[in-house]
Amino acid sequence: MINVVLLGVVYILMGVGFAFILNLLGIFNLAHGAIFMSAAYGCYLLVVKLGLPGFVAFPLTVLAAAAFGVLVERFLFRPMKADFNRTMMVCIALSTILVTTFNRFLGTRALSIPPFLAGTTGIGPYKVQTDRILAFAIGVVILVAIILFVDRSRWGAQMQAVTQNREGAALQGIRFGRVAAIACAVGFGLAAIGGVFMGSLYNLTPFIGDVTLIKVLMLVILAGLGSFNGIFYVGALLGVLYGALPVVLNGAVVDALASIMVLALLVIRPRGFFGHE
Amino acid sequence: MILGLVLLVLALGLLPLVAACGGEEETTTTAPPATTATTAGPTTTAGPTTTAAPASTDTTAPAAMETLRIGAILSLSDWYSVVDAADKVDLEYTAQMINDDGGIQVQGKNYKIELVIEDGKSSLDGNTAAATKLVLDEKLPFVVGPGAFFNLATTPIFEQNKVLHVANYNGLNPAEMNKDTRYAFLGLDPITQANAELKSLMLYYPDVKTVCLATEDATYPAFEPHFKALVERLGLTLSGDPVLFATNAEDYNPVASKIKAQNPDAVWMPVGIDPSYFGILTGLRTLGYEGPVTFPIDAPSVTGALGDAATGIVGVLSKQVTDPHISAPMKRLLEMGDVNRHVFGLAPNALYLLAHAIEAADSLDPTAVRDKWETLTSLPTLYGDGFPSGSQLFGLTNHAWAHPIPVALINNGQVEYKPWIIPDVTP
Repeated sequence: MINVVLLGVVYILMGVGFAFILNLLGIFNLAHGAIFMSAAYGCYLLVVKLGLPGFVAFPLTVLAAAAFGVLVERFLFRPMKADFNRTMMVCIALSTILVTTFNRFLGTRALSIPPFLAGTTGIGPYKVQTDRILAFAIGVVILVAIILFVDRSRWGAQMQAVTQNREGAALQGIRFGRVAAIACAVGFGLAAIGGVFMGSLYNLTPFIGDVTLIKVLMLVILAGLGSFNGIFYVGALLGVLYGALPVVLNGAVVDALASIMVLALLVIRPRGFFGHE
Repeated sequence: MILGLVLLVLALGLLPLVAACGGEEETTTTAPPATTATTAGPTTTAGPTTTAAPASTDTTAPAAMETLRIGAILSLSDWYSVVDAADKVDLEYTAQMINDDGGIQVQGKNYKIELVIEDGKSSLDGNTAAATKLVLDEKLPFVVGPGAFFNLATTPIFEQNKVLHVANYNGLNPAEMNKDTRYAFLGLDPITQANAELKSLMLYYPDVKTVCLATEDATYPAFEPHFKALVERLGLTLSGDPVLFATNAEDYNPVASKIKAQNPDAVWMPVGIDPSYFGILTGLRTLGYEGPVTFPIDAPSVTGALGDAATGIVGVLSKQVTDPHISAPMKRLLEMGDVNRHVFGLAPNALYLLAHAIEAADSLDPTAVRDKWETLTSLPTLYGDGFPSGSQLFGLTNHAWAHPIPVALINNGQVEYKPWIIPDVTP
């Protein structure tokens, strides 16, 4: 059960981060998986090579990823003026550079971020790694914070305004550049949170982001482009799919089943579960 | 503004950190002196074996050696580069080792190996292109690699052009190697590796009677009959249906749950990748499963990733200089670079075998080398004395080779190296 909810939380974090950038900037950030992977390696380096405690390395990594997001928005995304082809190429190039860099220097071994909390917790024979419970709790807190940020904060309101009507928002004095930078910072930061969770609970390889990116794309498409709420529901659904189905199905059958679901949905409901015109 | 600058410094700070902490395969040293040849008998376990590189009796390289260009296909980009980028470093070291010992001696002349390495790009298309370039553009008579199922793409090209090719290992697909692929050789019969895992398990955990077979799903159809036959030959019983997993999964706890549900005496994971092995093992231990688990390992990776949770592991194929049983050529190879690097030792072993076969044939004609190689029943490998295996399996005599396999037991994060095991010959 904890696997299901934890995977669900990670997918939702990743999906929300991806959706922030997609909805506000219109950019299909194919580098999202690479950011996820880089953050996991970054946290690993801070903990293992520099000896920082996990609770220090975690926020540092997230802040670094958010800052990187601001830089990417300013120097790579903004000059492309939301041109689909050019931004896609930028994302692919960014992803390739990051994956190749980590593969070149750290790729020959599967690594793991040491657990923030060692040991297991449970009742009787039913045990779960304490780290997982912690990751789940932190993930839920962050998701609640994100919801409050979007719904209650001034910046969140500006982001919603830009999502609904960029020109209208501009006429109201909302500075698109600043909102875009915030969206990238939040998007990259959320990818980093997901990466650190996965890197501490599972293992690191330079290609972990590829797998996760595919799931995020599925999530966003299933939820419906432009839908934040849908991401929460579909993230939970994917958590069940990938956390529980492997118990009864073998290997890649789970991936195939998820892919069939996406294909079927695209045929029956092209806008996704919660998408709108 | 100040906050922005702080964030920017943090972001930029991570990149040099990556560079500073990595680069484990960078160092280069001169090879130690060559060793002399001895042989290991066909016993259950082998002690240290020493085997010489070609022309090892003459440790001084002639003043002017001719060059023999040998092709190699390794996937240096994309997903399979995790293995092949590391193997490339050791392939070059192996060529250097052979060259330092006087190169390959053919008809009184010494040939220095010059590697022509092409990137297979972790895809069938990429491997096809690489093989085509080596054969048609470079016109090379001998090629090492590729590994895994990429041989599906390259074997037809090599066979049509009568290029002798030595695969690092393969996925047992008949299209990779069959009775008609007379120029195809294989550096490691994969069934012998699986055999070594089970034999080691039985040797160090004699009470084990039932094993749960947990393996990667994509390659399983080709391996299935051979794995089942192997279990039967060794007198073990499978505890239930094989548990198959995808190597791109994130969470392996469901797989661990399925394994534990079979309540086996031990768990056998013959094919997979480190994240799968580590994820399953962690899941098993969290669920309270305490039986031994056997799989191919790199000991520092296991202890580094799992720490004290690395326990009850019977690992094979870990190559470390601290292993007192390590073969002389492998020790020498390890000492040519950072001794703590992850040595996969697949393509390097294929090159080592090829060099000795060429020398045994005393010819640079691939057909003559093939004909001679088919008569050989022993060849030096980086792991000690190699022997043919799988003649019936592959439909070719003396084309697939096997060698002693390193064994290590890991308990509570501590590694104990055991005598290398000589696997049974695959029928």
